[in-house]
Amino acid sequence: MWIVLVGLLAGLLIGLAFPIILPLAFAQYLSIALLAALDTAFGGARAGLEGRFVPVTFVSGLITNAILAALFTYAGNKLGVPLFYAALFAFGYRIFQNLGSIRHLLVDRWIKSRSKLHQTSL
Amino acid sequence: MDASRRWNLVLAAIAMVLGILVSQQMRLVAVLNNTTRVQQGKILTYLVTRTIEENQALNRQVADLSSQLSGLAPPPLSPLKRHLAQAERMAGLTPVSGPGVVVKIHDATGASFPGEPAIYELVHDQYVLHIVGVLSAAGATAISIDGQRYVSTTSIFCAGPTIRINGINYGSPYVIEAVGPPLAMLAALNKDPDVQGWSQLVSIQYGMRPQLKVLGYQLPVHFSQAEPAKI
Repeated sequence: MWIVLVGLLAGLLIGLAFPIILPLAFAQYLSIALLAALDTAFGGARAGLEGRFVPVTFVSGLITNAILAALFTYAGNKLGVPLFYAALFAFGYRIFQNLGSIRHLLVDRWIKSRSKLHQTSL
Repeated sequence: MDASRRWNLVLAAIAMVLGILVSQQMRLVAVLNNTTRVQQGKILTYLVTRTIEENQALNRQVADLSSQLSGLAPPPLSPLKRHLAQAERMAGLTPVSGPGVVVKIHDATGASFPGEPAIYELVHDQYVLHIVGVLSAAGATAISIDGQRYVSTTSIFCAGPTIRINGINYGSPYVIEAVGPPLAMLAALNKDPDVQGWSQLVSIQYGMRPQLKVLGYQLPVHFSQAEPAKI
């Protein structure tokens, strides 16, 4: 688990230290791709807590979601339909749902551990 | 290397790529914000420059107009103004200066003659009137009594122990200032028997002044009855 965090940190530092910045035109697509990735990450965390985390599903979801979100935004810009907002709302909604589920799972687990402690102490 | 470890490495690599993208996005947004600020600054600079240019153009316009104005012929009002100034000077409405004579008249200061009535010790309105007349006849062009300019409506009349000049009461001493030919006026005063006689009862002193200033008539002018006659 810690190796993932180390990787994230290393990535942040590399990105900050990198001499080149991506072209400004990429800002919108990159932002929505990152939102998709964030959604997948929270989904993965939830799946991990529920004990049904499958790495292949996670990685494929992450990559395809990010690429598709960026492509949709691009297509929307070409067509004059702001699909950017559709992706924004969809991913934002799912992120908050996932966060809620994660909170539920954690609270449940905490309560169970407390009751177990209680039973053992009795 | 077992499967879970391999997957951990894959996940770490993906996390690294995501980290790179996140920090790149942050830098991009910062650049975007900075661009917006730079654009706003450019707009403000442009506005300031344009205002300065407008100011310069207006200043040039002001300079042009003022040079045109100074180039114009004097307005046709100036002969009228000259006439008005002359009329005011003749009417005694403006202060004038020049050589002249000052006469000081004071109630009797010395001892009175035996059996002399007290009324002889005072300055009377007719003394002042007479001296003004003498000076005027000798060529005075501007006369004032205690600062009151002698003009066409001036009255000099007895008001109890005082003399009312132009409607204002004055007490002794009386100072008559007259601009005009000093020698002629002095000669006239010296020759006048009334002045010489009165000067034995009351104090009458007079002398030349090389430069004398006589004030203009200060009170409002009312010509309610006299209307200009048609010529």
